[in-house]
Amino acid sequence: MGTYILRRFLYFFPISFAVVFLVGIMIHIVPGDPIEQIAGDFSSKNDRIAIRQKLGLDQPLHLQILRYYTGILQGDLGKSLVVNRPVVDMIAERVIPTLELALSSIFLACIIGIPLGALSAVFNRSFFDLFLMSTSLIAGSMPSFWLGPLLILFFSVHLGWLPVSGRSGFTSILLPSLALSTSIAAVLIRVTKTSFLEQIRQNYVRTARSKGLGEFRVFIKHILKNSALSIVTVVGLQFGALVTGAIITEKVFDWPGIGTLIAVSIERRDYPVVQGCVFLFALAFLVTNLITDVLYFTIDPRIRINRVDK
Amino acid sequence: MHKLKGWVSLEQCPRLMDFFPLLGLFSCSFLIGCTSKQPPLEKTFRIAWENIPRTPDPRYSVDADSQYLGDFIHCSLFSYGPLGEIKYQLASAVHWTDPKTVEITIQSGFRFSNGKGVTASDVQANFEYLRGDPADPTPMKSNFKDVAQIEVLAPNKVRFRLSKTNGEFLNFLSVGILPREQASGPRIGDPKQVIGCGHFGIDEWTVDHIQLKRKVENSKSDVDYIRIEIVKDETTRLLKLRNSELDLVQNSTNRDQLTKITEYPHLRLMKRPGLNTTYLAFQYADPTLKVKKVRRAIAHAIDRQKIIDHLLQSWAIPAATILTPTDLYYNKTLKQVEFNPAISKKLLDEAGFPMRGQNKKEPRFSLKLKTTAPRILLAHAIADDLSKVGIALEVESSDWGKFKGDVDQGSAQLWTLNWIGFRGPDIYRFAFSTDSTPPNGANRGRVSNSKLDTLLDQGHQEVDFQKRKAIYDQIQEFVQEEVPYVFLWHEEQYAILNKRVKNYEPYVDGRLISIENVKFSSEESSNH
Amino acid sequence: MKLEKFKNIRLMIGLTLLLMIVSGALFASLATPYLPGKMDISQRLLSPSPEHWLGTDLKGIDVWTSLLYGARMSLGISFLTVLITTTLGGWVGLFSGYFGGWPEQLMMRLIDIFMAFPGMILTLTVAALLPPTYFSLIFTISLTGWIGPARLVRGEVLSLKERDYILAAKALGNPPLRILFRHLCPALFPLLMTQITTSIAAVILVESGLSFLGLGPHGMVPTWGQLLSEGRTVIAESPVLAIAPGMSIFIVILSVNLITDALRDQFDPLRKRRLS
Repeated sequence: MGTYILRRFLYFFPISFAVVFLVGIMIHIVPGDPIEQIAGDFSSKNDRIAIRQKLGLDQPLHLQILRYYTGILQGDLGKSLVVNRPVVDMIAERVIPTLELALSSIFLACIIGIPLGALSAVFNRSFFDLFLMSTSLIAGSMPSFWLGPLLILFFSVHLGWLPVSGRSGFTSILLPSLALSTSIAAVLIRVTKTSFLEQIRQNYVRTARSKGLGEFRVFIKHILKNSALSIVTVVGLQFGALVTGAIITEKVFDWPGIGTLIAVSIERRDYPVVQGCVFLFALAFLVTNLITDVLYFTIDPRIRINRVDK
Repeated sequence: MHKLKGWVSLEQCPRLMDFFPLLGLFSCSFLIGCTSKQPPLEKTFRIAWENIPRTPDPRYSVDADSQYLGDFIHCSLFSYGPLGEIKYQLASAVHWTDPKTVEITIQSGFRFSNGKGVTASDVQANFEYLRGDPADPTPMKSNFKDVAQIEVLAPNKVRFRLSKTNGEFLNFLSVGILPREQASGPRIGDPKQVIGCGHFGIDEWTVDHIQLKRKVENSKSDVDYIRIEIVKDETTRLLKLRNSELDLVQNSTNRDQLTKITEYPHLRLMKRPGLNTTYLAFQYADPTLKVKKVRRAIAHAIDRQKIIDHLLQSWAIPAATILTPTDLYYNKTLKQVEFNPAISKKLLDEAGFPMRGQNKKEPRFSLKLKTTAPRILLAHAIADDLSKVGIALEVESSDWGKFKGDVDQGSAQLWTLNWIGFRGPDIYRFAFSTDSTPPNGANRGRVSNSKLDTLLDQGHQEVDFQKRKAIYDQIQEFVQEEVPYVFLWHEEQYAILNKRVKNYEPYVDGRLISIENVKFSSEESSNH
Repeated sequence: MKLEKFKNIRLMIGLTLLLMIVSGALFASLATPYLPGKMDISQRLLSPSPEHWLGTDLKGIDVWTSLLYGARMSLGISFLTVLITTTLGGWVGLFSGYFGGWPEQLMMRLIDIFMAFPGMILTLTVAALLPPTYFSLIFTISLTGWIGPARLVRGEVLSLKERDYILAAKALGNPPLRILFRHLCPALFPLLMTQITTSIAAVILVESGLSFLGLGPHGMVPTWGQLLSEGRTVIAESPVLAIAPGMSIFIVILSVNLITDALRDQFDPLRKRRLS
């Protein structure tokens, strides 16, 4: 196990290097110059050259990238070209909103998805089950960039109950997390149902029932506990996807998260910020993948670790 | 991944189950955390901007948002009135001792937020930094390259000596003033450290909003706080206004959203003539567009009035030159370019692009612009007009960074942009002089005409108004004849306000400074 | 019993919906009297009427017409993209799975690099940096799109390789390429067909997402994603402009989900047993 984690981490460096390198090259090749953003329309050629030198943008690309990497090893992601602030600070102030949105979406998805999935397992093959399964299929097929505006149209513009966008207080997080959690809830309903059905048929449940344990206690003590494993795994996976995948929803609701930062920085050609975000995303991705793998392993040692490499 | 079997011993599970309540706890604590304390609504003016201002440091403010913000937190020697006229702010008297020397007297009433009064020495320090050679050159440096010396004559009097006459010089002095110790130091990173002499101070500065708090009492106004939210999307800004989350939206480009917005009982519309010019520009380096007949053909093919009527809700007037009709230097003898596809076809034929016959040849161009939905629509309308005279125009939009790069490098054939909030006729030199080829200016179309250059230089150095006006009249006629731009229209300024807002006056250059005089009425402010 | 029926109904509904959309795309010109991309700014934002079933859009184009031709664009683009990614990924997976050795190592490391990275972020970054043309749209999506089919095919080849009939063919002295083409390729065909169906929906989703963020091309004949992103600017005034294209995207995804769900239950006996 230890060697496995170590190996994954060792992989990370060349991989992240390659990724940051690629993004760096692409941004440099494409027209659009950060100096424009800093200098404005009214500065002379010499001033621009001076700014360029000061920022080290006149050096060859490989030296710039080398410098960037020595910085990272010292825990320094550089400074933003445009707003002149450390990239670490800029990312840090957006981590909380991003996590906030991801956590509340997952929470919402859990409180909708798990009970409904359980109910649909209990009433398996009834009309209610059919209805729930169809609903979850429909909900799971709704693109978030369509659902988001529709939610705004209905709840904010027509009813006037909730703010249109932004991050100001409890009410403002409801719509974005609803938009994000719909598809997760759809997945959770199905996973919960499947794993519940699996548990219900297990021998120990039969034993518990024959011992004379009440249905409710059987449900709570045995079925729910045992199903929790697969549900937690799915929740974990979805959470990882949420942290990185909420860019569109962030944009629809003007949520000040990392997705918004990366979008703005691309537009401003703020290289260090884009690279910093990309690096952070790669790291977050690695860590969530690792946690999921380790979780798998702890739950079921029979799952061979090389599964990941297949 | 769903192949997990439920064989795990029961003892293991409770630990995993702990995860759920924990998750809930986490979410709740976050939700409570994000409920920030807000000042009372009846004392707060709420607006939304597309971008967070780059910096509150006036020496580095080049983006519009930073300048709008600067109006509230800084004072400057000169400022501009509602119609764009230059007026005294910190300055109380201006005396030109000769065409190259100006003495400016400073008012005594202005104080920095640290309590000290604003003196000539502070003013000197600011402009020394701007023209000087600090480690981090300021974007405004080239404005001050003709300044030879700045002297403090008295605690309230400062003198600027120029090496060359400059008809626009006072305009350059509308930069916010910092106290001497900050003005001579490096660029300020932390917004809260900025010491300004304006009516407001920075109270909060976060990723998604800025809150300003009033420092200088004003009994005529109810606004104690200004809350600036950062809302990237224009559609969202208008929706927020409809939902009574904002008090004002000014100059949104999305006019289709406005068709019904005025029907809302809680909103009010104000219109004013605007100080902006939208144009279609040509690249002279392109062999086809170098031909004047092709440029003129394109100018005659665009039905501007139809576009104004249907896409701009008639809130615009056709433009004949960069300057707006209210400008002192506007040449009143200019005629509008006529919409006439027949002339276009004839000109194209003469230029070697016959519409029919054996050697039928269709000119093909690409039009670049910044990605914003309403602008793309306008571009498509132009492309549609041009297709009727046999010109194929491909619309290519990109984000601002890339668009600006393309245009500055000269790799765009045609592009649309607008001039906003320009001061005085020197804009012609900036846009068309050979010396102004990027990166030294905005002559992005590589116009190079010696006669025009001479006129532009004369105009720049002339200080007598009548003579200067005569030169710029000539320049405007010349530009209209030469067609480096198709001047499209001047859009009207407008503001949509929540009805609770009283005493607001839109400024011609889009600045928001009038917010500091706003009174709130108790009139119904909600839509629902 | 009920569930069996549900499954069949799912398949039927899915296929019908998909067929409707595809025929709409194919026979667009028969279903509407208007030409695509013909703008008339004096006819903008009209309400639905007998002449314009769904009204007109911001350019004065009939919305119904835009939807039909938009289907052609959206489905066309994603079909082309999926064709590229499946072909490319398929070959990479086939060769690396069958021959092993350093090409396989190389491929796996390459996949590692791409997998170490959230795909959407990479797609977004690339899309934002390239000029907004159809070509770069397809390129951007293909950049990460080939990984799925490559991994899928490789896994399948690894298991097929050990099957008796392949081993027999090898023992008979058939050259490797012959085994690849004669025996492996046909066996992979059904797998690839399912992959293509699901990928088309996924690509439509990515394409619409990019267009929604303003990173897609702005051609005169817009895709659904572009229609949606244009429509959103007047969502409170003319909601149909945003609802109609969004609904079309939704229907395609729903129908593909219905079909694949039903098929998966059909072909996965283990799951079938579990569910019934």
